[in-house]
Amino acid sequence: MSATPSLSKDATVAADVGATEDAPLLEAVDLVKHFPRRSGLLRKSTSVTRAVDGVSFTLHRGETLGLVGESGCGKSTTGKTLMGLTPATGGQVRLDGEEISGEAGLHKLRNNVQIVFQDPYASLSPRMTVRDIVAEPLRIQHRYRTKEDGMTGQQRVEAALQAVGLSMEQANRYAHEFSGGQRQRIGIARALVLQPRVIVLDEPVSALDVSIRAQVINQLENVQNERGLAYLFISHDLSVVRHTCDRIAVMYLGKIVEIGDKDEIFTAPAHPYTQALLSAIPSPEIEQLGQRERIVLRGDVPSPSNPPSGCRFRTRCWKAQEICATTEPLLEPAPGSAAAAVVAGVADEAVDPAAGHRVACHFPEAIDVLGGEPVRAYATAE
Amino acid sequence: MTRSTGSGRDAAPQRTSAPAAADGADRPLLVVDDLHVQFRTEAGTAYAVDGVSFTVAPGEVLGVVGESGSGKSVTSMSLFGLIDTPPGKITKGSVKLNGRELIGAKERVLRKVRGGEVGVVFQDPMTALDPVIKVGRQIGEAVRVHHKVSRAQAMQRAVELLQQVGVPQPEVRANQYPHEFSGGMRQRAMIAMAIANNPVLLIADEPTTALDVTIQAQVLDIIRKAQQETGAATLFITHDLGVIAELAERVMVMYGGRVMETGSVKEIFTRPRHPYTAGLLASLPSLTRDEAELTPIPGSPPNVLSQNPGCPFQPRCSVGRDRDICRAQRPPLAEVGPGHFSACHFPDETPQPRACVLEEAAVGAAAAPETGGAATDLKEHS
Amino acid sequence: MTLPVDTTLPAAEPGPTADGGSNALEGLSVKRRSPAGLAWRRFLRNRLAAVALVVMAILVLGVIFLPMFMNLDPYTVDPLNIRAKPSAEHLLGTDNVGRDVFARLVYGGRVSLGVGISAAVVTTVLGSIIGALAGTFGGWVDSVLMRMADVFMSFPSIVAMIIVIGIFGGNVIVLIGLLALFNWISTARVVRAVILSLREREYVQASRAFGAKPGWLITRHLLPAALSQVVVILTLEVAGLTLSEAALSFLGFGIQPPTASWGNMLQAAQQYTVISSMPWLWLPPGLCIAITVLSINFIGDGLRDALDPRQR
Repeated sequence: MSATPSLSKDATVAADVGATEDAPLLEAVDLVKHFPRRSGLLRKSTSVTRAVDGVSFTLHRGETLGLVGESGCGKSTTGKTLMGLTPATGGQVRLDGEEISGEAGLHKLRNNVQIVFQDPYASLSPRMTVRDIVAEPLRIQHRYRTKEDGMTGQQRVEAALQAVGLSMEQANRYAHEFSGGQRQRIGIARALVLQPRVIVLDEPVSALDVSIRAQVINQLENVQNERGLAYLFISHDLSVVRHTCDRIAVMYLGKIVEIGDKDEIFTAPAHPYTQALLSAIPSPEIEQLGQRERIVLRGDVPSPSNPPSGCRFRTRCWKAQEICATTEPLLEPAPGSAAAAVVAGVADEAVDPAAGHRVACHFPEAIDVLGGEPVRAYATAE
Repeated sequence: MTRSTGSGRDAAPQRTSAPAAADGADRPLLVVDDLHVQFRTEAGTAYAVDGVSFTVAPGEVLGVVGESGSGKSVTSMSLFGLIDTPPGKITKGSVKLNGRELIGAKERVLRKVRGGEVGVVFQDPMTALDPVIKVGRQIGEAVRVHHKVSRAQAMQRAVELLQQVGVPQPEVRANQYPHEFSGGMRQRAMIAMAIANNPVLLIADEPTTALDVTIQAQVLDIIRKAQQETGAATLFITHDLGVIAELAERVMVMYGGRVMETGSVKEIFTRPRHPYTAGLLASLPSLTRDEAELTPIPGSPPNVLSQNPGCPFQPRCSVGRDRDICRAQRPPLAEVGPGHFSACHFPDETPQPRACVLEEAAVGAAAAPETGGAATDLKEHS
Repeated sequence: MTLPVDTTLPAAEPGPTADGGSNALEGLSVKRRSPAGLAWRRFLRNRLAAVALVVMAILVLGVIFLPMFMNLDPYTVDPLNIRAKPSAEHLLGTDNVGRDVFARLVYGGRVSLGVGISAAVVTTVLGSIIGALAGTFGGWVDSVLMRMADVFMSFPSIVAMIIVIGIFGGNVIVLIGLLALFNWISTARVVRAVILSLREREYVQASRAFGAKPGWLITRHLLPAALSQVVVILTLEVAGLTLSEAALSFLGFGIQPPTASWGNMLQAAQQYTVISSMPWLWLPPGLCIAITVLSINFIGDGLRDALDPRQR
């Protein structure tokens, strides 16, 4: 890591490139989470909701990975399963290349991976003062009474509060005395106090007003730069994700349909679903986005307890063919990406084809939707 | 088209011209003048709407945008007697629909207006749909309240309406209960009910806020289509500037129970003349541009429990923070361009959002001379 | 008489309150007030509950402290002076065997209220523990405990209690134990329901994300949150169980003479002639029971409104 005192975001990312050769900090391997729906006297499992159905990604030091998708796509469940908040049905979580298992694994996970929840009202206990709320993780982990980095538990609590811009004078108040934005800062301080290396941000700004949202986003970025944190940023808001994330994974019905660097996802989306999302986000940037074509998808998202065969997006896709119903597309290097060039043998750069821009579609085609490039297949299909 | 009056209790100089004369043939459909709504709460009186005036022309789409506590929803709800009294109370003002005064009208009259001349679409369709009555019957009942038709005819009309709002298999859907509908479908049913009696005005209060991006795109399409087919003017309330850009021709920006700025969507989003509007636009992350850091509006939302004698945005405003006139005198809603009104003492100093990143540096550099300017101002006004 | 106000019930109030929830004007007023302080203010605003609280305080303090200031003797039999009318010597007259009715009323109050309050405490503690276990662990633990509750609910409890007392005799401890055994169910159900809903709350989930074990969750989050409801139940149970004790004693299966209780005082005054012509024998204990039950119910309602403002 560079030791420049003013560690800009770019510097962090640059340092991260160096770390890429090492094992990723956090890794999800084929993560599966099914919720059985029980009914009847004997509580037999009658159907299964496939909330997360084979999700894999890596997270490197100092990096922000965005997990985007609409409600029911499994992005929040992925975060919670990753944290061990709900036991996984299948797959692995690896921290520093080691699989998390058993009590010891969970203990390690808790001290390295933390979470900030969406609802700043529901996520703070109404019965505790801010100081107690932020101290709770230390107390649970029996770290409050020990000295770390020469600081007592209380001092570390105060440092965490200061890091998010809250004063000591505010620490003795109850959470209900604060506004939404301030509450979310308390939630961030609480996640910081264990000094984790990864924070799962589960829709951290979705409940906040527009003018407050930017304050909290900036705060999150400052904290990340100061402490070299990695973020898993779960959100449905693509413009927020574009601003905060280095890489983005788009989820649909429990699966990642496209993953890649932010620029690849935003300028060369190759999955029809990503293209539809990008074309449909309402934006006040009327001058810049006046030209883009609007894709209005047909129908609703199918139920995750009974997903379509083959490609899960096919029921709403304008490109769907027979093969889409019979064969499930795998995540493969996207057309035109560096990874695809490596696979084709055109380039022999040190690009790992399993890490670059990948898409799960039988008919991928990179189209700069936001830049106004028309989606011809959509126009003809309608 | 627009005739907005500053509601200065302080009798600030009225620079308001009357553009209504210009296109006087276009008699406004809805004229709201100096509306005041208060709520009695445990903590004191909340001035939820504090002198709001606006007009809606026939067939026009007016977007109302604001954050929580801006009074945007209370305004729309109080127009046709939809606020709970007590604790709410309209203390002053006039609402005229087609020249007919509605403030102080009997509940019987208001009920006839709602669902007849005025259709309402709420954020949560489940609050408006009865869970134990079939959807088709509910829409039919809405027709039967205002027209003498048989049950069968009403049902037939309900099916037509469902078809019109793009519900597939409307005959089948009409015989289902609301819980069998998805969120997007329920919102369509709600729209069907709102347009059942060919209203002249449609009020949509955050109708797509609870929906996912792709479903939101569908519902916005439906609203646009329904609006064009019925020719109804629409009052579209939302916190999402992007949705306004998609749908409305004219926009009204609210803050702290007052109108900050109103004008055409294009004007306001590209050349705002109120620092709050500019601040909102600048705080949004861009879909097309990389920004190093977001530019939040500092501070927190206003306290509606105390009436501010000056501009409600003054404590957070980069232009007026240190100016006495902004603290002491309520700025009137004055014309700053054709059809463009701003309630700011210094509309010309509004930072322009397109160059906000560059501007910020400039503002920082110009900070010292600016305070000097404020001092001269002080002399002028004392 | 000076009343040290901070004994008895008020001590229960400064417990944690229901959630602040998200009220409409959130974030607008930033005043430093603890949730308990807010609840206490809301409670005092309820006139009926505040008056009831004062009445109960007088009753309880009187029962506790009067014997220290007055020469009261509930046991001495005066055969020459039976069923005497109220007089300066015997404020409320004497009973069938010539004992002072006022003295018996005071001492009987100690027993009746004592049994009522301690039975209520035992009931609520038992119910809370069972409810907390069922709610926190769920699964088969929940199933077993809740089926157990169903079994107890389906018992005709008065008959069952009478049988048990008939076999083992009716001392105070047995009585408290029996009352608790047949009354924990409603507490357990409420605590279980509260915990089931709280378990999914994000702040409880957050606590789990920090590695909290069930013991921590129950003691730090779940029970404190359920406490406001438990306090309300506890209060209402005091009323119900005081009444149950009176009923059992009235039937002759509760507190046995010569120990006085409001219930067995009523029992002794059952004869027709007594009812029609000697009201000092039955009116005072009857009134005391009625006032107690009524006041406690008002206090309970007041507490519920104060602790959970959303229910209004």
